[in-house]
Amino acid sequence: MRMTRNPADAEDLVQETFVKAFAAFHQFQEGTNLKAWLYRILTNTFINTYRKRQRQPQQSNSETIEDWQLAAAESHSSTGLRSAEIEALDHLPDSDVKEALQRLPEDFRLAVYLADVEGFSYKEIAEIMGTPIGTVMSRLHRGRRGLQRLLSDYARQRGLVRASEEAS
Amino acid sequence: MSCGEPHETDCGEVLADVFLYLDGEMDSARRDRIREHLEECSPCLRKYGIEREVRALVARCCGNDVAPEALRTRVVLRLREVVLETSQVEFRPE
Repeated sequence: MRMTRNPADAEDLVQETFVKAFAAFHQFQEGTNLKAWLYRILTNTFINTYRKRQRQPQQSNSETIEDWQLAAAESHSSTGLRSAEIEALDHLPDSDVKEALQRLPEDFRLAVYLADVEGFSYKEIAEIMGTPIGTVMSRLHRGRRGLQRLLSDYARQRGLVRASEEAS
Repeated sequence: MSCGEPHETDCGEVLADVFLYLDGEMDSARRDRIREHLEECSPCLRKYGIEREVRALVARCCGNDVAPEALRTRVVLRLREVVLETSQVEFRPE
């Protein structure tokens, strides 16, 4: 779901992943992480099938977000979230946090999801995404910056940080 | 960002490494140095706290999705079909 942004595609993707994993199960090396292996198949399938299909509308979309996000990240790089805002974030509804993650460009979103939700190591994420570890680290870094910025915007829109702003 | 006190490990270095520290991607000697610094430097500790909170928030809000039961059924059915298809191929010689 976090990948496709669409439940029907997410279900198809899961099914296809299991079928592929089943067919390729002899390639799975015992003692390695099964979940990471499944994620790798899932990610490859996603890139090969769904992303191609979504490319037209998605590309322009993600590029704009990326530019905007980079600009935002730069102007906030020194501060990021303030600690007063952190308490406010706890009051955000889950849906806001999910939406913030969804709004990140795909590569950043996936890296953050695999690290923070699934708890994979940098090395495992690099294998899943088929990129060098350095790329994973930079995606994680930029993804988290963007996420913090979005979360603080949501908190402000909901009026959760007004008091702390006046205080500072 | 610095608290102005002298530290064995520089604040800038610690902040650059807070990510690695939180992600558990650092050897234990380095971890100890960062931990020691965080204990004695409140600006860095605050920064660390923010990063940690955001990770926890994402994990809590985005990690509890349960796949619909219908999907499980669908996948199991599809796998059965695949098993049948492949076993038919294997036994075709007769």
